[in-house]
Amino acid sequence: MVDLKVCIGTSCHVSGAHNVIMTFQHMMEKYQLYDKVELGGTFCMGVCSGTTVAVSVNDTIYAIAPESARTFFKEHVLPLCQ
Amino acid sequence: MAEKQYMTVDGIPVEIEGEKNILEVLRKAGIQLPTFCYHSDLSIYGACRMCMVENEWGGLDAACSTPPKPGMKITTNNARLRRYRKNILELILANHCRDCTACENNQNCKLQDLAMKFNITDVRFPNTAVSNKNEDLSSLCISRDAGKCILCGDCVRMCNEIQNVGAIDFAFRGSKMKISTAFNMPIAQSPCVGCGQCAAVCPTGAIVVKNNIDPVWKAIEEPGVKTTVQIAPAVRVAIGKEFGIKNGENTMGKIVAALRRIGFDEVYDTSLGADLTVIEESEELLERLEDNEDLPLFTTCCPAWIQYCEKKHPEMLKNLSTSRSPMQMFASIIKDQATKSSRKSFHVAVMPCTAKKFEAARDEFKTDGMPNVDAVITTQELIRMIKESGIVFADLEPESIDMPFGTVSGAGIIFGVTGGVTEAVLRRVASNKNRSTLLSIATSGTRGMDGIKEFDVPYGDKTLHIGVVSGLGNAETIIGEVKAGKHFDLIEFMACPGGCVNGGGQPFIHREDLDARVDGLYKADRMHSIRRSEENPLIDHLYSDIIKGNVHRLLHVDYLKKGE
Ligand code: SF4
Ligand code: SF4
Ligand code: FES
Ligand code: FES
Repeated sequence: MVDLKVCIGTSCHVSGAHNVIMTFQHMMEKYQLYDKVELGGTFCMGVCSGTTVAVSVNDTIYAIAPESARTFFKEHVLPLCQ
Repeated sequence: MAEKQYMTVDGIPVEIEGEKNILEVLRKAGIQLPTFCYHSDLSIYGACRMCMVENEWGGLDAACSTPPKPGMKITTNNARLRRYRKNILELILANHCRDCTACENNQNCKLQDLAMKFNITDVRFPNTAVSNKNEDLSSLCISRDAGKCILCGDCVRMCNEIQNVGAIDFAFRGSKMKISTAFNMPIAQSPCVGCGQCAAVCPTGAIVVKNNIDPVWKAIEEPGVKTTVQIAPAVRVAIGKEFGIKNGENTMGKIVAALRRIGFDEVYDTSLGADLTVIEESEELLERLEDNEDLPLFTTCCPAWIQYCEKKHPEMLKNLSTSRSPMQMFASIIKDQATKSSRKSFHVAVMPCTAKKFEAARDEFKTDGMPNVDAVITTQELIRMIKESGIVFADLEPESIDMPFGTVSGAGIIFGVTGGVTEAVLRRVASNKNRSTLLSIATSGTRGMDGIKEFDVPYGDKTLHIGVVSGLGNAETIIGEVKAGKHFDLIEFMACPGGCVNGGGQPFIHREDLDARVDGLYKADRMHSIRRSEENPLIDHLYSDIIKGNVHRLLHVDYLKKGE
């Protein structure tokens, strides 16, 4: 099971955390990954920047631009599901 | 500065400020002449002669088609004019079905209203109406009764000039003249898209909204049937005026209370469906942007627009979003839940829209052969049901909608006005979730009553070029531009001028009163603590539980399939 978490702390929230969650959710649905990925929210991961959203994949933390959520998912999450 | 110019109306000087016709000058002076064939948005026809005024030489001019001139002297009311107008009314009535009490538009009819105002107690001519009932009931959206037509041509000009559909036109000449579809075929087989705008401008009951009240009462009264109902955004700001409440006031709470009294088991808000539409359509937009495929994305909330695209531009169907309309998203979730229960369910949608009646009957939106929405009633029909029930609407204490679908966002509410869908999608798509972003989206060009709006918004390092159109004639214009190679990323289409607030199923109001409805929706949005669809906690819950794994089946549709 891939543990995928999106930060919904204050900074990440205003930087578009929900956009990232929605896109991840959409990808989960599109590829029907419910038994492969567990998607959840988490509080501040200490990498707030004011423009990026913190995401953790199996405990590796990334700070991504919300516009790149789809690419990120394809590159960092999908391969783990194969 | 140019000098002020005046004309004299009934001995009083009135300023001329660029009005196109005397009628507009008069309205400014507080005089409302009777009219049948004049609508400010349509071309001037000048056929009914009700708006006659007397000029200083004793001649008669039609106020709707005579431009005001400085120094002009007119009389709007004297014995001769009153006699003249009365005479016209009597001639119309002589050729008109007079079963007012049995008419759909009883108390909502210009002819009836004027006959009353001019105190017509007796018609001196024999009644030569074609027949008292000469109906075309073929359409799911509108009903026509030629026996009530006064040949003002309002519907013809609406359908041709504003909607560019041309489903109806004048046929024959002289005393045989009538309004007809091509070859007099049933309207359901004509190019009609069901927008209902013809019914909205018809001054009599010759074209009316199709009545679907009976099956709703029947379901409510049938024991063992669970009745659920959803209320579209635009309904809440259009209903109050009919019950003496301020025009445009949001009366959602009272509507909910009224529907419960009427007997519905569960009452919901279509705005939740709209929130889902925002999520799905945004994702689709982002996907298409990334793949640079099938752009521009066309919105698909409006069934009249979809029919227009299917009938006139089938080659553009691939641009349509596959997201179902808010009404259908909500309905498929309701019906999906209902399959888990043994109780029979009947789902009703209260819509500003006649075209939704057609959408509800489409094969795409059926479960096991049964429509997900069992009946669509328009705002007009709901008003009638409330009156039939004897409910004193104005006195109702507001109530709130039912759980588990009880939270909606402001973004879902502004769907009822042109530009609302776009604004809601932009709120979702924008990465910056500050309050200031909401403001900058609101002022980016989405708002306002213009028929065609075009603007740019930044997205990441890109710029999105967006179009928002209402009125199908405007849709035709923008499609022409797309076909000629102009780039757009997203285009919102609404068939009714101004969007659903001005839907064919709403109580008729004049264009100048429409703004109050629009303001009512924007105000409701401002008052919501949740302004963005993706921040509605219910959305999370729906995706991670109720519709998990079934999003495509429940929320999407392929309009292309039908064309193949
Ligand atoms: S419903 Fe719309 S498309 Fe149909 S006849 Fe009326 S105006 Fe034309
Ligand atoms: S604009 Fe709204 S009310 Fe008019 S036809 Fe479309 S969906 Fe219906
Ligand atoms: S708020 Fe998300 S990392 Fe601090
Ligand atoms: S309103 Fe002027 S002629 Fe009909």
